[in-house]
Order: sequence, then C-alpha cells, then structure tokens
Amino acid sequence: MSADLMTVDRPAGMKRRKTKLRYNQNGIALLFLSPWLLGLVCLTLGPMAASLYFSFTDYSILESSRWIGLDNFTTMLTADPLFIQSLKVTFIFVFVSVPLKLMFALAVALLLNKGIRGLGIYRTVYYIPTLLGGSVAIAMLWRKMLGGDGLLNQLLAMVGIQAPDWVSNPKYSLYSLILLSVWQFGSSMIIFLSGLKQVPPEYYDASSVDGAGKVGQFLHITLPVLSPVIFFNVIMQTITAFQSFTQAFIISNGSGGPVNSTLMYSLYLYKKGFSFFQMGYASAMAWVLVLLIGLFTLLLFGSSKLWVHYEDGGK
Amino acid sequence: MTIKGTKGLALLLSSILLMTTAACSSGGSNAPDGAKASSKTEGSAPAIELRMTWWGSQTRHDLTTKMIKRFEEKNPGITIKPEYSGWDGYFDKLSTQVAGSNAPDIIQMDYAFLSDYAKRGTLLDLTPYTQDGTLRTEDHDSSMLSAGSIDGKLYAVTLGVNAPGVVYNASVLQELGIAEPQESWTWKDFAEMANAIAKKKGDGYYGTPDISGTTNIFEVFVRQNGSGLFEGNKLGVSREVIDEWFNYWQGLRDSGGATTAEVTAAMTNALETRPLSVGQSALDFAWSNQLITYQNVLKDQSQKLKMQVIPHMEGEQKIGEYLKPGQFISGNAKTKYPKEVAKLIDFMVNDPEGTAILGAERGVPVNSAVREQLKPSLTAEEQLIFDFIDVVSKHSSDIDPPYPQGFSEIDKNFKSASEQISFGQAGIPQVSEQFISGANAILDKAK
Repeated sequence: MSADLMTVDRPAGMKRRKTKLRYNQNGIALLFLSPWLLGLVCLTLGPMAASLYFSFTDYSILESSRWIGLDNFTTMLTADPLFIQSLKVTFIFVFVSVPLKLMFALAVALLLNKGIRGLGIYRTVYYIPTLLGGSVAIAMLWRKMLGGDGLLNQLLAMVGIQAPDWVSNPKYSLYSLILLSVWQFGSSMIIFLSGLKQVPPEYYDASSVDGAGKVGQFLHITLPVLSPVIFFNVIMQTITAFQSFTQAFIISNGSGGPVNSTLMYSLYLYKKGFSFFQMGYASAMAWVLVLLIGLFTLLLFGSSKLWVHYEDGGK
Repeated sequence: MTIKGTKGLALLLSSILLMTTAACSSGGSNAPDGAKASSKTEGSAPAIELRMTWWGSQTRHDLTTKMIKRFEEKNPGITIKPEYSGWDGYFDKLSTQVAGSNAPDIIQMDYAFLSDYAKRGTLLDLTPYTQDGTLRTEDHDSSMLSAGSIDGKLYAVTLGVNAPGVVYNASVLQELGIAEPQESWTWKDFAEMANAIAKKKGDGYYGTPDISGTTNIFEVFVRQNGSGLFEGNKLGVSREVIDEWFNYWQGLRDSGGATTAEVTAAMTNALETRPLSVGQSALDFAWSNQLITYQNVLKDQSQKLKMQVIPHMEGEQKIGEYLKPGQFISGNAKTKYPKEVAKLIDFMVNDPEGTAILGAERGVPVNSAVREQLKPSLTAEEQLIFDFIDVVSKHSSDIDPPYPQGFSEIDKNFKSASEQISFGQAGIPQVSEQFISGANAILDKAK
C-alpha cells in the first residue's frame, strides 16, 4: 500500500494526516467490499450457521424445529440403509471417475503438447464438454443417447449387439454417470497442458543423451515435474465429485434409481430435505459431507509429501 | 496498522454486520396485515398481483392460462401470475417456497399432502369467504367439501372428482380381436388380456406397463383385501398381501404381458412418455381425468381410448374403487389478498365461463349446477369420464383418510422395492419384509 511506502521522517501534524488517510482508505476499501461481505454473511455464513443448528434438530421445513441432540447422526450411522447406500454410490463414483478423468485429461494434454497445428482449436473443442457438461440439457441428451433405443444401442444393433439400457439398468447406470463425468475432462486438461509447457526442455535433451527412452522420460521427468499440477487437479476433482448432483438427478428422474443405484450423497440429501420434509436430517448429512471432504483433502495433503515434487524443494 | 486504524475497521465491520442482519431478516415485519390491505383496496381498482401455481400436462397449462385471462378481463385490477410445472418436483418446490415465506397465493393441492400443509398452518381458511358469499359452495357435493376440510375449516376446494381406472386402447383391442373389458372384470382377466395383447402384437409391445411400484394402484388392491394401506399411524397392509401383489406382477413380467424391468425404470410420470402414449402398450392405469391428456398425446391419433374400473379381486372383501377429490385448489395462509384468492377459486369452480373453459380436464366438476350446464357441450373424452364417474359412484367404497406424514418417503421405498424384485436383486419375501419394517420406522419417526 502506498501509505506504507511514505518516509518516516515527518512532522507530527503530517503523521496524523497520514493515519487519517489510512483510516479513510480502509473505510473505502471496506465500502467497496461490502456487497461481497453482505453476500458472504447473508448467503453463505448465515445459512451455514443455520444448517449447523438445524443438524441437531428435527425440522420439517413447515413447522418450527425441535432440538434432538445427536439423534440425526446416530440414525444415519445405525438405522438408515439408504444413507449407507448413498455413501457407497458416492465413493464408487469418486474413486472411479476422478482417476479415469485425470488419466484421460493427461493423455489428451500430452497429445496436444506435441506441437500440433491448430492447437487453439483442439483446446477449445476438448474444453467444450466441461462448459456444457454440468447442464441439465446435456444430462437429458445423455439419457436419450444411452437409453434403451438410444443412439448408442442403435449403433451397436447395426453390428448385431443387443445392448442393455445403460441408464435404467442398475448394473450400468452408475457407470453411465461416471462416463459422463470423465467426458468433462477439459478443465483438468487445460491445467495439465500449461503444466507440461513448464517442463524445461533441457531435461529431455540431457536424458536422451544418457539414452533414456520415451517411457523412461515420461516416468522420470514428466510425471515428477508435473506432480504439483496433478496434486492440484486431484484435490479439485475429488471435492467436486463428492458433491456431484445434477447428472444423477436428471438421469434418474430425481429418484436416484433404478434401485437406488445412482443415489448420490447430495441427491439423497436433497430428497431428505425437500421431498421428505426432514431438513434437520438433511442438514446433518450436509455437515457429515463437509467432514468427509475435509478428511479426504487432509489425507491427500498428507500423502503429497510422498509423491509431489516441487522444483524449489517446496519452499 | 495503527490502533486508530484497527478501531475504525472494527467500527466499520460492526456497522456492516448490523446492516447485513437488518438486510437478512427482512421477513414478517413489513408484510401488511392481510385483511386490512384487501378491505382498503376494494372498489378503487388498484393493481393486485396474485401468484398461482399448479402441476399438470400441457393441456392443463393451456386451459388454465386461458381461464386466467378470462378472469383478468372480468376483474380489472387483478393480475394472476401463473407458475406451473409437471408433477415431478412440484411439492419439493412448494415446500421450499413455504419455508421461505415465498409461496404463491393460490396453490393447487393434492389429497395426499392436504393434511401436511393444512395442519402446519400454511393454508388459508376459506370458511369466512363461503359465509360472505365470495366463494359459493351450496351446489358442491358435501363429501367433497368434507374432504377439503380439516377440523371443521375449509382449506381446499375440489376442482374435479376422479377415480382410478384402467385406460385401454379400444382400437388396438378391436384390431387384435380382443373383447373390451367389462365392469366386472378381475385381475385374472386383466392378466390374460395383457398377455394376449403382448403375444399378438409381438416383440417390443406390451399389454401393460409394470405398475407394481405405484402405491396408488396397490392401495386399491389392498382395499379389495379389506384393509387400508395405513391404519392410523401404522402400515395397515399385511405381509401376505404385499407378497401376493408382487407375485402377480412377477408373473406378468415373466409371461411378457408387462414391461421389462429396464423399460419400467425408464418410464416417468409424464403422460407423454408412457408406453400407452408412444404406442408400446394397450393398457395403463390412470386417474379418470387423465384420459383427456392421454387421448391428446396418443401417438396414433386415429385410435380411441376408453376406460374401465380397476379389475376386481375374486372374492374381494369390498370394492376397491373410490371417488377422490382429484385436485384441490387452496389459498396461501400468508396471502395479502385473501378475498381475491377466494374470488378466483369461485371463478374456477362456480362461474359458467370459468368452468366452461376448464371443462373436465381436472376431473368431473364438483358443482352439480356446473355439471348440468356442461353436459350438452361435452367432448367425446369428457363424456367417457362423466360416464365412468357415474359407474364408480354407484359401485365404490369411501376414500381412505389422507396419508400420514412420511408417506412420500414410503412411496419412494415402495418403488425401489418393486425395482429390486424386477431386477432380480432380492426375493419377494425378503423385499416385503424390508419394506414393512422400513415403512413402520418412518411412520414412527414422523409421528
């Protein structure tokens, strides 16, 4: 700030003016920040505090809430098979879709990094699914495409394969969602691509002189140098995947079906709160999700010492 | 930072906090007293805007917006803002709006949710307006008035009387040389017909959609067995009846008469997507008023749909069929203009013009004078519905009390249970057992 750069040697009167100036500057800054602060307090902190309170109550939305202590949390862990089912579905989704998506993103980034012509166009084309993929329209399109007599099955029928309905068969429905998520690899790919551009070419030159092959270079140069970027992508994608809602909601018609095979955690939370009038329970579920995401983020950070290499030694 | 600066910052922050709390808590205090506001505005024709919400198909949206336009022409100064959607998600949205004190002034209600909403004080007590003549109920069927009343107060006015039934494609039956169902038909007849249709039509065509997960129709079956789906705050249906129901549908799936598990899972509640509409089945279960929409969205418009009662059970304890207040219309307890709300409701159920526009799309009108007035101008489908309701009103038993709290969760579990069986994930006895214990746990909690 410019006030701090002012020299110290000033008469006393000047000094007072300076503090006044600084006070005004802070005031003005806060004034300009106030729309954001207002939003933060009203739309984020307020509701968060409220949901923390509601998580210890029996709250039907239409009636006022009643304090029940830890009941919601004990019910969740001991007497709600659908809660366990939603955890199972969400874990499968996270642990299959995130690695697949990142591998795919890295592979495409490596291809695009070969210095091909029209890179800008390819980058845009591959990024489009990320922009559109979260939308309701795409989820509906996806449902049509993978449905019983959707485009995919019509193509398969041409080569004589009688395929199942990929979205309304509980064996495959979750994997259709995973596929839809992997397809939105664009943002990770862009980050990988910029990461790849940072790898100093001398490393490759030096290693080829020493006789390293392509695979060796990838394993011993590209991956280690890229590891901070991978780390970042893993964290971001894991957090998003835990909260995934729209696709499951649209593709299963809001039911998490068939047979609860796509009952994502957020979807179940939504059903509890808004369809079954159990907002207290839903709030408790929301806080459990916060803790879960926090726990996995911590674990990832903990593991990062083992596999993430910073060129400056992490300083 | 200097001490003074910190102080200033603290001051500013706290004032912002004050501002925000004021901004956040803007409910209640500045909402004008409803009765006062409306009595003041009488006669001077100020701009009053009412929000109205309903669920339904495109047919209903078109008719209702037309009705609203006519109401606005006849009542200058009142504008109605429609907010409509399909059935899926309608009550999710409504509960959120009610919680946020942001619900529409006029609300289409369902029998299943009426007590939930009325007992929680969210619906407008319409009794005063029936007494001052704004909302005339003299010609309404008394059973429908009592269905919309709770503890002696009228919370909901019936828009149309409905009954559950089987819609069938008469043209397809004729083409296949299958006789149309009679009023006395049984579940066995139904299964034979479904199987015959599927067999004669061949691959990809079914007799009926598998509705074993539809609680409404299961309820009729339960009633035929002599109990209610619920008895007070407990599940009323026995393990044997649930098993029998699932076994019956398992049989129909195995023989090809009913849709496969995959096809069923891909179906929604939107009538446009049902197998009957898209030409993949000749039978479906529906509410009587839905015949109009079914006929409108039928893929082959040259075909004719008709309706018959839900099949009987051999040696049934009582007739399962019942008359249901198809849809209710209610006011929001927090509306600023309760009198105008009552006025619109009156227009929908009593006014010759309003009722003529709406016709029987929501069911047979509840006002006997309106029924008489409509009779000469009925369309073919409306005539079928009127006749059907006539038949049912002669042979039916009383509707069961509204569902207890927790019904929507039990409803979802019943659908999952049916899917578990049809996808072969678990045996019928095990699924029934789980369903019963789960439902009773939900009911215990919701008490």
